[in-house]
Amino acid sequence: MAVVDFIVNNILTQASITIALVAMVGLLLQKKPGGEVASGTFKTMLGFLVLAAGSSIIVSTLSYFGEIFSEGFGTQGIVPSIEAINGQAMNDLGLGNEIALTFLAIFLVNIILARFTRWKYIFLTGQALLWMATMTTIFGFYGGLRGFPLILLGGIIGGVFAVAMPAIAQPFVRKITGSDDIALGHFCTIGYVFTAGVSKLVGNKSQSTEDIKFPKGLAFLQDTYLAVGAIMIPLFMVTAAFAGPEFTSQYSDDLNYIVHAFLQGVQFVVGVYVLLSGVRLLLAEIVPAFRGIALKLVPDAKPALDAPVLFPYAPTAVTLGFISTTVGTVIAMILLPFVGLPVLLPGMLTNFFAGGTAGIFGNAVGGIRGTIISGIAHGIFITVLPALLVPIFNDMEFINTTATDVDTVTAALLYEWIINPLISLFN
Amino acid sequence: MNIFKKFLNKEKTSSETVEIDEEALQQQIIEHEEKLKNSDDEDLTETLNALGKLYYQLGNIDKSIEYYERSISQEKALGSSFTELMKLYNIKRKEAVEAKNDAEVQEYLTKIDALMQLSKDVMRGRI
Repeated sequence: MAVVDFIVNNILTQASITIALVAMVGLLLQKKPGGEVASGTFKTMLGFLVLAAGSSIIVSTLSYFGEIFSEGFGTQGIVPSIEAINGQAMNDLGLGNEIALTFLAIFLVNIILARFTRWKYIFLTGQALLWMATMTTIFGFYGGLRGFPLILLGGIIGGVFAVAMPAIAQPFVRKITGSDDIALGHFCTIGYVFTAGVSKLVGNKSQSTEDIKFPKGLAFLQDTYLAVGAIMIPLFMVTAAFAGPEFTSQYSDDLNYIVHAFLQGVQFVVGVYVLLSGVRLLLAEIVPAFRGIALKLVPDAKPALDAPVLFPYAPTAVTLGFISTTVGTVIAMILLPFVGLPVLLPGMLTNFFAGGTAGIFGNAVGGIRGTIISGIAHGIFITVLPALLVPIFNDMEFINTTATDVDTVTAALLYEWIINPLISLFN
Repeated sequence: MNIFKKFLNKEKTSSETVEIDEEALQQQIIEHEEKLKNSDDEDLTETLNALGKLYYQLGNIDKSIEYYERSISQEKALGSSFTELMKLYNIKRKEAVEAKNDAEVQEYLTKIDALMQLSKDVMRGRI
């Protein structure tokens, strides 16, 4: 009994060990050799701890940025980053264990739904599932759920999203790809369907984006970290300039306050780099193991793949979608404070992946005109939705950040507006 | 009964069509493979894509994949070679699932991942 107590209280409470055990089970089920099981399990644990280290770096720079932004502009400046939300939830809120188990539960519910219903989608984008597990856990926790009910409900909600989002995207994906073989597994789908709706209303399908000559490569986005740095470093410096030397000297000591802000901006990029390396390491073993199992259990599954699966069908639409979505996020950033919401800074990576894919949807139903107008509407949409979550994140003491991918935001709003009030009725 | 007859007739017609096509396709493959030997860089990709398409129409998925992969390594421009390869990898993945060949399932899932990564990189101008 003492041994069981020791295991339950000292080992299974450690999220890094829990998630490593999840990976181990996956590797064992695949009948991998002992060496591979051991190395895969260890790498998964390392991944979690690297992620945690990245999160601490991000939190420290974001808390500095939050302070100087409030001083400089008199309002809250939020950096949307689902990675930062995940890192803080896992570490500062101590929800790592629950997120790891919810991730597993979502996967299982997805398999059950695909096996026994006519929606045969298996969601294969591991990173997106981790973000969904993060959001359902945070908002279930906020509603008062703990332990098994928290994980079970998160698994059901996340599992339904893992099937429903590819299903609602599929009519458009069929139109784009001309076949029904593959599906889209990216938790920004509600934004894509919204974009397609706007594009249908305002667009003209007869002139496709692919008929025009347009520079196809987005060279300035060549490197993820350069792209993040190119926005964040100047933003930190300009904000520090507005906050002024008197206020910022409490952080910069003897160093020039602009140089200090520059270095803090660089630190933010370092945090993103470390955190994403951790996420990759964490998922590198789990995802192949579980998707092999899922496809075995659901032989007629339709694999729901990450957004770049659609890029080759309309590369010009990706570029136009990215640009118009960015315009929309900038418009929303300026307008949000007028309706009592905080300033949300545009995130270039979300704009590229979500905006680019939205462009493909916009083009499929509304051609060039539809892509441009609906892209701007998409940028506003994906800024307003996460802004609605800011008061809750503030309440839970998240540092100056909010979520990005709109399906995970929708799941969070579902908790906030429907599930949590129902839970409180029974408590 | 009529429906059954209709079905049989339809089957017969389609199998005849395939037979006729097969000969024509083989001939086209010979021509394109000959052309491949003398292709310069400009029309090499076009020839490789044509061969990929012809082998697909013949039902030889492995050969089709081989030519589309060569086409992509020759010219990394987003287009039909990418979309066709994605389709073919998925067909092979499905066949591997049906054959309960786990190693091959993983192999084609990894190829799908790599193709998506390449699409992403091309789009961002890395290549």
